[in-house]
Amino acid sequence: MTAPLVDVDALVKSDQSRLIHPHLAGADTERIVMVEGSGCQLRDAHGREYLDATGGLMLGHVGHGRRELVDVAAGQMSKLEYFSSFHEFTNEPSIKLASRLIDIAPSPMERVYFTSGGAEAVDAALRMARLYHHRRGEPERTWVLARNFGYHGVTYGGGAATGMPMFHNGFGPMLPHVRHLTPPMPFHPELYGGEDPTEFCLRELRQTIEEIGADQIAVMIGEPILGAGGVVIPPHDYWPRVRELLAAHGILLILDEVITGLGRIGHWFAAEPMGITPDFIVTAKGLTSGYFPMGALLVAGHVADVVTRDEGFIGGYTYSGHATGCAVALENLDIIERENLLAAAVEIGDHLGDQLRRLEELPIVGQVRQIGLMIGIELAQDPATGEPLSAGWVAPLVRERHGIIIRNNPNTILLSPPLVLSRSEADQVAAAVTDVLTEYATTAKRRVSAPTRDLSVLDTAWEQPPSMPDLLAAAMEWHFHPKTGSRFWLERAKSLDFDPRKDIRTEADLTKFPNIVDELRDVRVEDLVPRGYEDEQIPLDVYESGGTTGSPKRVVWLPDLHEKLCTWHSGVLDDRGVPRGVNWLTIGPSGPHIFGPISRTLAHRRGGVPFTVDLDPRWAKRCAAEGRFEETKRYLEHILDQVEWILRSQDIGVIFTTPPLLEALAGHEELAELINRKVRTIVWGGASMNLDTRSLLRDEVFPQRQLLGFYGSTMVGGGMYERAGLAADEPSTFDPPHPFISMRVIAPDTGRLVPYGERGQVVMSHISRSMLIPNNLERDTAIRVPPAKGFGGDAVADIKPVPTFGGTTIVEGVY
Amino acid sequence: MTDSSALVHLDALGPNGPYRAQAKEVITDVTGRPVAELSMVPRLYVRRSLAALRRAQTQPLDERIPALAEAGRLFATATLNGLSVEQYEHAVARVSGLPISVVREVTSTTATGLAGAYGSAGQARPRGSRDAAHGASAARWMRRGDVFAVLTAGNHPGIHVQWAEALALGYRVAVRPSRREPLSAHRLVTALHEAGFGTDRVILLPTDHSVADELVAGADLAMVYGGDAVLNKYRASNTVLPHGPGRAKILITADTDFTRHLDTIVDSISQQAGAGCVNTTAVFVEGDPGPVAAAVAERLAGLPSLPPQSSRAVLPVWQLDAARNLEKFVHSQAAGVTAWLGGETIVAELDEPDRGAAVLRPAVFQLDRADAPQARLELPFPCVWIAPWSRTDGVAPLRNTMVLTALTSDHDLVGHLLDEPTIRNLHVGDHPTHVLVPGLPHDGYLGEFLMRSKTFTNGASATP
Repeated sequence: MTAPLVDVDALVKSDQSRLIHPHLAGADTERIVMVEGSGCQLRDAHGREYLDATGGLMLGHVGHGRRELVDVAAGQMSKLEYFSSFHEFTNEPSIKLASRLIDIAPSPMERVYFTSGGAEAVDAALRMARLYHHRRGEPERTWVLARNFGYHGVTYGGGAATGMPMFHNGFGPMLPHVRHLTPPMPFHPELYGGEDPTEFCLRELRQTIEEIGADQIAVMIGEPILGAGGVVIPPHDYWPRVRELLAAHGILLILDEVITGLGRIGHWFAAEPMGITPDFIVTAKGLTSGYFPMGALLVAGHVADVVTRDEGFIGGYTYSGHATGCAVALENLDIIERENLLAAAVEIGDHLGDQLRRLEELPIVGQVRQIGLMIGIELAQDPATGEPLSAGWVAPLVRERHGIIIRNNPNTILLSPPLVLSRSEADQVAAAVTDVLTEYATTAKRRVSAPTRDLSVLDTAWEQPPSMPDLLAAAMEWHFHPKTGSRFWLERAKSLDFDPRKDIRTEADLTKFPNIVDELRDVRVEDLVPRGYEDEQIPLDVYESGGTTGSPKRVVWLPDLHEKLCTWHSGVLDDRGVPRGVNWLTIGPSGPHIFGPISRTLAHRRGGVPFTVDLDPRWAKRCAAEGRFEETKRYLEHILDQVEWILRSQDIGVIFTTPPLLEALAGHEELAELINRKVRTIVWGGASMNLDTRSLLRDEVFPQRQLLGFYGSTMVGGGMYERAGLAADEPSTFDPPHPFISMRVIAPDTGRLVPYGERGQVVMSHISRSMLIPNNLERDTAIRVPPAKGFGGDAVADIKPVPTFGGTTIVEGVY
Repeated sequence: MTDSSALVHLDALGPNGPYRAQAKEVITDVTGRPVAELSMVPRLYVRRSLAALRRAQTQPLDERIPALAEAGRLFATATLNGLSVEQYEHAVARVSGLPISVVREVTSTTATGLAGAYGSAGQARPRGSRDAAHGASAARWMRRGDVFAVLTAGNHPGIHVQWAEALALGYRVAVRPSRREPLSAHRLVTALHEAGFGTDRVILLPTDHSVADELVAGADLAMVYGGDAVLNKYRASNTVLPHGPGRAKILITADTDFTRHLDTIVDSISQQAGAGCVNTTAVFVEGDPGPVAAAVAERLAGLPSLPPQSSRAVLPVWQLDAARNLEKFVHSQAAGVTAWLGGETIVAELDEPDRGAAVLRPAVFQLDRADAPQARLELPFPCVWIAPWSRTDGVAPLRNTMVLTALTSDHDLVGHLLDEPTIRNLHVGDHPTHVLVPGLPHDGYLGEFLMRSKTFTNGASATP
């Protein structure tokens, strides 16, 4: 090969300003301009040569630079480059290719629908599956079952079926009626709670069918072998049993063989050796080896009969049945057959796999999985536990050092070279990967003793907040380092599909964390304490949620957090003109709740005496939920009596209470008069307050008093004050002490951020040295608003409770 | 007619006058188009309003009686809250889906009802009691409290006359209107204010359900309309009077030729658009119910499907989606029984300009036994369940009935029916279940709940 004469710098500059690359971070300026290829070799514009161990994106079966394909394409183009395949129009190459595909496909595939690629074929399959049921008189069968870690493209149909959150985050609502299930991943027994993975998955599938209703479900989609998800080969009985269960309920099956199809694993299709009889097979990549963008959907006869009848299958793609593409595909299949590349995939694949499997001895390699020329090397912090290790650093290093291109998902190295890979090329690949992983393993072993990152940012005062990336970098290192992290988080990290210490750098990254709220109902509180505190004698406090959404959740409360939080609170109160040197009356839950202790400290810190009228919110809510209104009423009267005794006999300057209790005070004329006479500031917080009530309180009941709203959550250890200067028709708006507490407002059905000005469910995160509660779904909805000047992160406005949370009815208005 | 582009503002009517809240609920007509905006008051407003009612003095009787009559006149003739009576009637028909002829009739009966409210309320007074000073020693008929709350229903505008009796008896009244049709309650409270009732004596507090409970709890006495859940919730209360489904019935015994009473039967089912609690829900036939069902179905099938504003409309109209849901429910309940009418559909979609709305067509179903659960199913349109009845079934299937019309000449049976406490009104002969007799109780007298007798002796006045 010879390097073409091009101005590489100019090309790169133009690329940077003109092209949008998939999966390229905005700050990444590196570009590799590929100009030539032959077999498994590639050459860039600088003349540097690479060995392609990826097939680009798991294709390139016949290798680069095949003259036969060029000639076929040119020949077809010179005759008929393209004409529509809609309606009655067709062409010879597409007819021949369809017949050829059905010849090599397993039974019962009978008909072919051509697309421009795999994702389009997935979408077509989903549409056909729903149409099939619709035409058969079951239009309510619309649900799609898919699998976590499955990849089916990024169109809105296929993207919704794809089970990887990164393809959903920020892209708005996905296709509705899609449910993701757990795939069998035998290397990760922790996902199955001690149960056999296949049994677990089948049970989950059965339960899901029961829950949704078989008569609502159209189809299940899955890759026979998880590809981008890490080359995960299922137990041999998984797919046949899934198929059997689906068939028993009339649910169709789409097998996504975009990666596994047409030779990658040594068979034309994985369905046959794996004993699966799907209703659809989706294929693409190997169909043309990348010489033409093309996909094909193979459809079982009984389905095709239904979707082609009446007005036929409505909807197609411009390039469906493209004459040139089909001619190229036919020649590509001929090459695969002629050069016996199915057998080569097995032979070279096994050869490469044998060498790579030796890496399992390294302390950073969890498992090496190989089938044909499809290989995944899963990295782990600790292979015994499967605790994941990011693989993002491996590919650049292998490319730089050895000129070999490989890929990775979050923690798995992915190899999928062209099927023409030679034995010596396979040896080069194995040697390069071995070199880089071995070196890292040796170095990493030396580093495990203690966090090396500067963690001092964790001790920053809340009044002088660090940047979110700085805080996250330190907090992730602290909470996930084996020496300093809590038992809870270190254990939980094993089931994360990312490495928090490497992959959490921005506020958006926090969405990678699962919502752990339910785990906080049962966790041993000692397990929540970061081990980094262990040498110190620390008096621990534990606070609980109000029990609105089920049994209480608990957080452990460390003195350093209490100190920082109360200092910040007091500063805000000063800024807002709340008087010092006055007594506080807190009317609200103390006991196991954070409400009382915080206000007690604030009263002390600000030179006042704390008075408390306690409230058991769980009792009040239980009475309300059970319709025992008389008891609720009497309990409220009991509380108001105590308030009255204090207000009549003591000097109170600040009242801290909840909106329902404040309403009760306001509705009690004598108490309202006492408050107007004695109290200067009323802080309300802990539940929602509507605009009309706030206006009544401000303008009619307590016209001369300062009313200050507060919104917070025990689960994220704190909260925030109402923005100053809001007009009567502006809802209460709250800016968090970012970045220690941050908020997102999401659409609950998709988990995506709602636009500013729209309502969604509130998600809070707490990041500090003593506490890590990321991605905590609150029981409130709010409008997402930009932060006030001087604040970071998003703010929220017009808090309202959700009607139900996790199946539990929310009881509001009593606390 | 109302300007379709302008929403009617239905403010809360509190002790300090109209109150326009930030929280509003849009009231739509039967096509789903917005008609009005209803201000929804928060809990605190309710508490403060009830406190104001409690502080207010009761208006003297000689002011109340003429004020009620004047309010009735205004209700039926004046422009109130920007709506003439014609505009009001049109809006209520469009929102409630009731035929405008029904609404017009109610406008008129409301006026007469208010004028006679005090007299009507007095029907409940025990013979020995007085409602004013009378001699040295007497039983005085006294209010049980000061503040009366009403949570009204939206199925029929005629119900408002009832709570006016509380005003007549000197209560201060807080009304929570139905969110389905709040126009009538709003108009009536406006008329009462215009007629001289102070804004701290009768108030209108639109709220959501949770705050409505506060209204009931904060008043001395309350009257609540609703379904079985409401009945069960307040069954044991002696301060809350619940009004539930009427489940009116007709009984035809073997000695009666039903064909001579067909008008009574059909009217009982279908008059007032079949939407009232006094419309017949079930007909029990001693002998074969088939001929009765066939004859009733034939008559009801001829009723026209017209939009509610048509003066010839006789059937209720709902939003199409709601009508379809109701149809699904009706058919699920009617599974396995014989459908004489409405078995295929009860929904007749209307065309432009009423697209999106649907007439609820009558339904007639035949049951195979008297104790079939469907016989207790009350639906808001002309829907009747016709069942066989025998002497061995006895009174049991006829229990828990607001109105029973017995088409029989069996005096012994009539005696048993009269003795049955859960049959609250009994007509014998050609008296449709929906026709109320002025001066006679509807569901008992409201005064029985609002008042009680109290001994009062005054030695001074006894002195000659």
